[in-house]
Amino acid sequence: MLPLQLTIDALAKSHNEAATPTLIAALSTSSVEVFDGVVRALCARRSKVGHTAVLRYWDSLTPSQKLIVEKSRCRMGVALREALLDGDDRLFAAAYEFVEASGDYDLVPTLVMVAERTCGERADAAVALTLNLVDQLCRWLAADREPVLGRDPETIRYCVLESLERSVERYRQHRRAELLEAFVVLAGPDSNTLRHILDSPYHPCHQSIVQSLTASVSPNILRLLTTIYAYRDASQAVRNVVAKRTDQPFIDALLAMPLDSKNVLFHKNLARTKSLACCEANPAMMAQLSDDQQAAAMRLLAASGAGDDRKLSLAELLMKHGPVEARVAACEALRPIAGQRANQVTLQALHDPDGEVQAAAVRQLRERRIPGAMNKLLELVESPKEAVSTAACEALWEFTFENYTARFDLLDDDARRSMGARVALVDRTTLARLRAELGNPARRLRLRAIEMIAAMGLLPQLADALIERLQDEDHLVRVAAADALQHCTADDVRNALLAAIGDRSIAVQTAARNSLRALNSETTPGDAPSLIGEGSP
Amino acid sequence: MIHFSWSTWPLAEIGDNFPDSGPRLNWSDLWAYGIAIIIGAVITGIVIIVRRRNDMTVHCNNSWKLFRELCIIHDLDHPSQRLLAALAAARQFEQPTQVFLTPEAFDASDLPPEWQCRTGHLRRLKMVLFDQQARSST
Repeated sequence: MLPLQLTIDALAKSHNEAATPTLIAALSTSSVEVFDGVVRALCARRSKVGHTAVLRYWDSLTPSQKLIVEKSRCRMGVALREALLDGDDRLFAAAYEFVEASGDYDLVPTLVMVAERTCGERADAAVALTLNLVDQLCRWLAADREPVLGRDPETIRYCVLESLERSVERYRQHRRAELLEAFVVLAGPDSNTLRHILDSPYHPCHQSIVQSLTASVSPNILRLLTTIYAYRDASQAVRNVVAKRTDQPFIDALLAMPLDSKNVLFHKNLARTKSLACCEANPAMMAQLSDDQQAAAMRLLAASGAGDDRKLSLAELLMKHGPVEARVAACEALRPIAGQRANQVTLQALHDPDGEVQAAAVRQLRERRIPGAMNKLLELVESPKEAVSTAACEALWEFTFENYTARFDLLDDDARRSMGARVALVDRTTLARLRAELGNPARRLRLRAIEMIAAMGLLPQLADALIERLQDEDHLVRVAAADALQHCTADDVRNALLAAIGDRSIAVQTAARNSLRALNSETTPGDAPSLIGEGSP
Repeated sequence: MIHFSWSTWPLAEIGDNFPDSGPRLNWSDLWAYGIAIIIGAVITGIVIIVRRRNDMTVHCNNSWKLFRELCIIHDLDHPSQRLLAALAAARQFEQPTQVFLTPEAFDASDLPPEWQCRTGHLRRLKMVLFDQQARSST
């Protein structure tokens, strides 16, 4: 070990108090190595005087020397506290810089004490530093990251919060709103103290905290505000703040909150909010929002306790000028609103160029009992836009194959045809279900299936399945199939009917001939009789 | 029953009330014991003082003890220790130990003429105490 290093180590560890004045005197040395060692030794010693002396040299320390000092902050608490509370300007500035650089949260109570004093610059600086430290701590807590101090952020939060709570109790004396803001940020949405203050309009801090919540654009405050509103039973004061704010940072934070249907508290708070200034039908304000935000604004307003007129105004605005997401949200927001105005907006949405918007309108068309809605829906089932077609099918939910099957035997021929045509249009599983029915072991059901195919007008589409039925074991089914095939013009149908002329059952042969005759009369009269003649037994 | 007279006790002789079989003691016999005890106490005191003086783990505020502590750490002989003490006095340092942290103090050019003869010794001491610094400065 170098001799100087030996000296420094001895002075750092010596039980002799005379080492401190020796080291302090050596701070004025011109040798960099000696100065480095002296700083290290003074920081290592538990001596307030020595630490204060180092702080006096803070400005002239190099970054590496400052790092040495910062590493010894656990021993320097007393000197730092005294420098902050009673030090001269130079010492205060050094201690301030030290705390700022090292993030020493043990000094927050001291900073709070300084901040509570009414002596101008120092108090302001202490307030600013306290807020910075609280912000930093909040970032650590949000990121769930171990801070450089090596202590659990929750433990630090607990200690800092305790001193800030004491400061809140002394608010009448110091009137430092910034300290309240620091408390609010750190207390979080679950703090009983904060809840008590917000619930008590006559609490000395109530007005100041509400003012902070109303005016602050600090991300922590915004996070707190939106968290309370979205995930807690928000007090009247919080609801009022949310209802009034229209600044962009707040709008960004609020509209980013997911409006989950399972989040009962959010819906409850919204329902108790009679207006949301940030979601009003204001073209200028809406123009500043992104597409998603416009949609979110519409959804929030729709879930709020605002009047229908306000909701309709925003919906109308978005239907005219909004992006697709917002138009869809506007359309969906109309659903619980009855009346002519809402109906008009819904009908207007049916002509929207975007399929999703149309689909949203289609879903509520029947509920609104608008004249001609049924025919419109049947038209829209054939829409080339998949979303619209699906929505129309969903709206015509009663036109299902099951319903049709259940009622088929009770319907007269006209009703079978009209309902069958609609079911064939609406229920996309009809063809598959009919094919399955044709293969049913029960003869009665197979025969009924052939009847249903005819009533629905699906003979051409199911010709192949009917041809298969010409080979059915039951001659009645074969007769019905042969009879039904007269309406199918495909070549394979003709061949199948010709083959059926050779069936063992006379009834089948007759039906096949009749069908061929009917087909030939529709197409080329001349060939068929000869064919029928050749095929007949 | 033993009779004890308070009025005569300080002047009574030890052994007055014992049987005549044992040897009698006078006040003068205690001087030897007293002197032995005093000498023992003085020696013990000196030992304690010396031990305390050389025990560097005891908390104190003594600049010369610190000076000795540093001298011991650097294995300095008595002439060197005396020279360093004299140098601290010549430089008028508040703390004699400052010489261990002040390499420029070993430059004899600004010292009184009687120091010029000790220049070599000072240079050697500087080398012993500062090594790298001394080399770099020279």
